[in-house]
Amino acid sequence: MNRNGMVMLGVLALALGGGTASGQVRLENVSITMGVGGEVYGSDGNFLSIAVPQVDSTDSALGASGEMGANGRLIFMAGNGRSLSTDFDFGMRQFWTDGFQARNYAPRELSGRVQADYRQRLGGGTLLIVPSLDSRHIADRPPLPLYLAPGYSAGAVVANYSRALATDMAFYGQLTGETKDYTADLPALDDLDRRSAGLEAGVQMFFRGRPETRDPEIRDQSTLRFFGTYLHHSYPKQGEGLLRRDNAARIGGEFTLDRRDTQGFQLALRAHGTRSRSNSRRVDYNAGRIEVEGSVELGEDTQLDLQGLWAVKRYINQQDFLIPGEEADNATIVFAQVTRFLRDGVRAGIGGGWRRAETNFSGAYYQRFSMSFSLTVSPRF
Amino acid sequence: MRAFLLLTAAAVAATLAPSRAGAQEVGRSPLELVEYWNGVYDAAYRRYEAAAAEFRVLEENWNRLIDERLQQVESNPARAERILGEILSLSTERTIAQGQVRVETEEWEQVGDSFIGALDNYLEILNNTIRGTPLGDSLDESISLYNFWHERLEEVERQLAPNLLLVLEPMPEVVARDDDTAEDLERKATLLENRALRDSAGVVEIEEKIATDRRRLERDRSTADLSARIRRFGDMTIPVVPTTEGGPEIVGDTTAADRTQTPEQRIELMEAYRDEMIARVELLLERARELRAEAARRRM
Repeated sequence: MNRNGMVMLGVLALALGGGTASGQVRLENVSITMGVGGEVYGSDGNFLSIAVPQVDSTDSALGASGEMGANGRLIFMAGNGRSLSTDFDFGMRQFWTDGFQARNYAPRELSGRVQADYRQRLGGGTLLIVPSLDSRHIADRPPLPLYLAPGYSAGAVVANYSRALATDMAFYGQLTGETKDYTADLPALDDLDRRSAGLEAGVQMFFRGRPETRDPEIRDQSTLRFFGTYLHHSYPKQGEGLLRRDNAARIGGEFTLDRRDTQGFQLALRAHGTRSRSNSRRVDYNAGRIEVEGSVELGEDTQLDLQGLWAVKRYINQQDFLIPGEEADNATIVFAQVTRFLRDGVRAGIGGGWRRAETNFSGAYYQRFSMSFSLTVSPRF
Repeated sequence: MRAFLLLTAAAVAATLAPSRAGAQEVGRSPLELVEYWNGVYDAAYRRYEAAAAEFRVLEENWNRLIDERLQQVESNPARAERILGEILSLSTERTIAQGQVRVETEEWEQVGDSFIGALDNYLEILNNTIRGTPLGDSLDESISLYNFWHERLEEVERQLAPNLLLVLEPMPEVVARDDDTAEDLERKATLLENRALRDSAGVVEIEEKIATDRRRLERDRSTADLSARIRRFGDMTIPVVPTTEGGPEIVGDTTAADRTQTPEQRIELMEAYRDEMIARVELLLERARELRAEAARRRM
């Protein structure tokens, strides 16, 4: 087990131990999910990435997967203008594949994430500190057309301060630091190791719904947020003598519409554009991303959830191969799931997803269709 | 009877008291009005807390005596009779205290409404001022004032909100007296049964609220679970653009109440309240049965 994994387990053990001793800790929002699915992978056979260990000449393959995951929240304190909680999430997914030319692979993914959340009223605003540890391990990683991200360990800290400017407007400032080390089971993966720092400032506006739904218990509101971000990324293993350093400016916005209690749906739209410049001119680029999330109630016991992402990138200078650390230039991802509420704390879901990623310079692509059935249990403690 | 007269006197006094709002609002600036209502509200809240604390003490003693009498009624009837005397003596005091709590609660809530109204008005004015003020000391001062009074508004709303829910009405004081006729006892039993019926309706209402909140929680979890599954295995993460993501939800809904309870905690509180209510209904019906049995015995 790597160092971050040990730390994560330690944090969790301490948290659970503390709960037993003090009796003050609450365990909430626990969900345990089991799922099975079938997948189809395809590519034009020309997609090459340094982050993928092998090459297989097949253009299409089949797969099946089984997964288990658990997530929840430990609440250590809440009240008197302060709160401290920790979210945890662990999972395992096992694949079986068929249709590869060299051999059929059986990749297994293990993931874990622990994220604390401390917030405190301060100077008329709210200070938020969010440290997190994130770890991913993958065994028997396959070649394309099944792309599975490499394993890594990551640690991040976000410090956010927000304050009201008016009854319906708040500003915030945010500092972020992150370090991400990829598992070195392939020498080229070391190139992906990254240190990042970010500074973000933004304004968020709130709009309540109709006057008859002004009750704060009724969710009938929308928000609009605009932000600007400066990002610095350094790649300590890329470059000889002169290490690669990227500086990026990003502007974006987010619109959320929450009509869950009045019309049975909610929607979130996010979009941002990034201008990234590097001390290596080869990787100067401009990029854009649009994300959408939504949920709609379909009758008393059913709900449809949707998530989608569209990302595009254009390099300033001619590219002949993918930049290390970036498995594609453009991507489209869509997930949808219909959930049936079977009984209190038990849900069944049928969902599907489509992912397609491609390069700008050759038009090479890979894509993945998946369908899955899942059962989720949320026990009460 | 004495309690009834005292309550009536208190109600009449409250009704005839001059309207504080009408008397005080003339000629005051919005800030002065807010400061005025702040003081009035604090005083009303302190009076309410004092009355509620006094009633809680009496209620605890009263319940203790009731339980003690029930334990002694078979084994030591003389002792039970003495306890009954204490209960009757305490009952008057308790009824007065209960009435005082109601009066103070009503006063506190009325003052709270006026205070919130004044705060809303003043914050709206400040909001408009902030929008029209250029950067500088004047703007900082306005924002500080805004934040100060906005926090106060949230505090007042928090103090007032819990009183709307989850406080059981005191147990009705209905006991069999030596001079009660069988008909009197039948009437008392009917009284208790009516109260049980009313509380049963309350149980149904709270059950509906629990069901609504549970359904809401399930739907929220369903959405969160899908996000968790996608994120867990990096299925949404294609590092097309190096990102430093996973940032927190932005805090700053300045109009939302500061909720220190999670949805699960709120549901648990409601469930505990429902259970308490069901126990109360059973107790009321049990006492009604006892009264009817006593009425039947006295008829013989």
